[in-house]
Amino acid sequence: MSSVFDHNFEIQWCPGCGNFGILKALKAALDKSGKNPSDVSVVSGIGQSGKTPHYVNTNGFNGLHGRALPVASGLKISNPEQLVIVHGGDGDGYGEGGNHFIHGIRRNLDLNYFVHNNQIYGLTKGQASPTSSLGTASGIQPSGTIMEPINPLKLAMSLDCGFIARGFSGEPAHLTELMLEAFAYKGFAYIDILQPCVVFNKVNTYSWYKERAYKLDSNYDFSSKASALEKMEEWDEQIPLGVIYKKEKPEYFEKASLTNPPKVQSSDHKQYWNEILSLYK
Amino acid sequence: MTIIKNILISGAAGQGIDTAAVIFEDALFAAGYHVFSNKDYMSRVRGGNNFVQIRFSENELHSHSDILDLCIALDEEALTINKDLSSSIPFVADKSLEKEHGNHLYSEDFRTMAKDSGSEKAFTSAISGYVWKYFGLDIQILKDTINKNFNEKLADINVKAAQKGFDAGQIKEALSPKQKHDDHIFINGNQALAFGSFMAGCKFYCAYPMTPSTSVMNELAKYAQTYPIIVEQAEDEIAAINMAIGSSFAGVRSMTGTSGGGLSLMVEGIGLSGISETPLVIINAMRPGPATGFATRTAQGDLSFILTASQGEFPRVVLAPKDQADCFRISLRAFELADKYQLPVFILTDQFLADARKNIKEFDPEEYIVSSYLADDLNMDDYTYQRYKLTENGISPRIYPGQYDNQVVLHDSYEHDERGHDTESAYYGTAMMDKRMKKEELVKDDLIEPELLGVPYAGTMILSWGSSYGAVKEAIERLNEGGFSVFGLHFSDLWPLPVKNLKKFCAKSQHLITVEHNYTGQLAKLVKQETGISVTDKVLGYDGRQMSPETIYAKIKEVLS
Ligand SMILES: Cc1ncc(C[n+]2csc(CCOP(=O)(O)OP(=O)(O)O)c2C)c(N)n1
Ligand code: SF4
Ligand SMILES: [Mg+2]
Repeated sequence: MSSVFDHNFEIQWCPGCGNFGILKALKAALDKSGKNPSDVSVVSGIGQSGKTPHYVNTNGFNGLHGRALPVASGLKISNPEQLVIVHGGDGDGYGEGGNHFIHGIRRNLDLNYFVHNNQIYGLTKGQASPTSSLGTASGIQPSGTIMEPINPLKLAMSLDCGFIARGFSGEPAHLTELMLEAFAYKGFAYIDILQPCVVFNKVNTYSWYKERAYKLDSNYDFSSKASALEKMEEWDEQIPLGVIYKKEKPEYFEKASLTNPPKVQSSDHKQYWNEILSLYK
Repeated sequence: MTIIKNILISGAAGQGIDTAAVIFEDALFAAGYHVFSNKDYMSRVRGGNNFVQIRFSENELHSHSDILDLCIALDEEALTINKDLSSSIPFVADKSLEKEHGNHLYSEDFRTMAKDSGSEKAFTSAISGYVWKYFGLDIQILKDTINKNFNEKLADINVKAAQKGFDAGQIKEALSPKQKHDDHIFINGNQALAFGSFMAGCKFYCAYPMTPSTSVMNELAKYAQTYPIIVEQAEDEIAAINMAIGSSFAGVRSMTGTSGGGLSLMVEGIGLSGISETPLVIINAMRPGPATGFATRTAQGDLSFILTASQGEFPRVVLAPKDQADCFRISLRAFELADKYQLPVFILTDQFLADARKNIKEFDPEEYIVSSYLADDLNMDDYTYQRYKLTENGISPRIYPGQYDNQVVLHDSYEHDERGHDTESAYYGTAMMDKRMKKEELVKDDLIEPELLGVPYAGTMILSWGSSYGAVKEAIERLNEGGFSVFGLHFSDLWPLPVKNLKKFCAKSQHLITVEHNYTGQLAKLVKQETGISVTDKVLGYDGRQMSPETIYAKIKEVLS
């Protein structure tokens, strides 16, 4: 089925890469969102995830490694009408740009932050990432990384992020629903997406994730911090998919109570000339 | 004889020097004097020694000066530090500090006057009243200024204290009353940058606090209470520059600002603005480096750094305002240039200019033009817009997301094709670099030649740039009065370096001296690189203090004799 979000540009991901599932889910979510391509911006950093803006027909900004969130924040502040979707990587978003993840949650702009978490540095050919499990071997860590992996969901939880979800690129239809829920959420909506890297991550493969992944059902109470934390601890035996924690919070513009927020096409500032001048008289 | 007076207020951080100085300066301005003040402060919140110099005259002033007429010492330390002045100029200090000290120390019980007025904190106002009397000025002007600067309760206390100080004083040098310059404003460098930027249509300022750039953010945050601009404190400078870029991508005039250390963190982002052709204005308020350096002092040490900051090659513009009025003009130009040529534009200021206050003739709003450089007449098939379309002059029509409902726009940090897609193509590698660098050629038409100081073709030519303008100008005037033939070229636009005047005047000049606040003579290096012209001598200061006209005069004289 063709979509207005289809874009004919050669995809550079390896055949079988988990990123295809994410792209498919994204396009389906955009289709269902009823948005016009010109009203959507996809912002990314550098890594395999960073290529996403090139593969959809939307506005896009493919910036620096780790710096997608700040670019998206500036864009959203100055053009709040755009649906802004940020695609990050585990190295990109949890390593290089970790500070922006922390403060992006605190700022609570109405952004959608989707992290392609393949537990490895894909683009730079297989080094350990912040989510690689202890002992993951690579060219740089031949006898295995000695760094403990971070639990990004718990990190987000510690900052009281109002929308924390986990998706799986092997379940694109489910992921589409999560993305739509994120779009609808007013505030910083974060989805950590399990994404097999078929070339460099020989441990966390499709079947490894498939054996563990299960969908949270309607009995699950995503408003409970206690159950959310419990779910976030699950990993080795089973991995929950779905919205794990959700709560309403005032987003940036509500908090900022700006008396006169700027608009892209706002009129000339010359009208304030005399008032500003009087400050220095 | 023109009257020029110069008052030094010296004391510890936390004693209210800033407030006292601002009120005193405002009052002098209200009394019709031209005022130039500069600050020297330490990186601490309490204690130490800070000072403000307030110079005023019936004629316009362009610089601070070492020649002082009076010192107000707010604490013991201030008396000790300035002891060498005690034989030449009078001091005013609180009675409690009275001790062995030169021949003219005016001491009064200012603390008691303040206490009796309602708060000991008002003792600087008592001193102000006393000094106001010293110069035979009208107390009502001082009182009005105090009322303007404080809330009602505090104003009341301070007005009382000022009156008590005034009553205790004697007229020593009666200055004649002047007419207030109603068409002037009284502003410091960073306020003028904020004012100019806002008038240029800046709607987003994003930064991480770092002295001496922070006061730009404070000033704009004040505006943001009422006017359409958002000021965002980022989590770090990397976020600051990337947020400003994101906002600019959204079609909004955006700016970031920092000082050396923060600029070092922003470096990759500068290149992002360059290759993605996202307009951006970056203020760098210089302080001595490297690393933390002298946090609250001044320098011109970042010119060489800024000229090539970030890997690779891309067009950029570097502008260094020479004074407060130039801060206003340059911030307007910076936004115009950034938008017109879609590139990063630097405003290179420093602690001295950031904090120095001066009255300037107010600008004529009709004199400046704010234009939109967004493409508002596109008529293209659906989704065929190309952000990096190769054009004759290298400038591609720019639109922002959502501007057209049948087009999308893609910015890329990777080398790209015309649509903005990553490419590995050798063809685009060359074509896109050529396209971008063409803009650096083109922008030269909009840059301004250095200002000529004095009469050209005299024996010695002085090169200078940025905030040293006033001091260099004064030094050149004095040198010529003293029988030396000296003229100068003062640069505000630094990159791409305008070379016409340089080539025109330099051929005839035998002797070339650069005057800079850095160790290596960075303007001299730039001039050499761009024109092959070498300087003969360098007058350099790198102690974190702004060289006065007297210092520059003496150093040049030494070179010439
Ligand atoms: C400042 C900077 N440092 C390093 C790199 C090199 N680099 C590019 S992508 C990447 C890691 C990518 O890992 P991840 O974010 O997990 O993305 P993936 O490729 O796995 O999707 C690195 C280190 C860079 N582009 N920029
Ligand atoms: S290296 Fe891994 S993450 Fe990158 S495209 Fe190939 S499979 Fe995907
Ligand atoms: Mg990765």
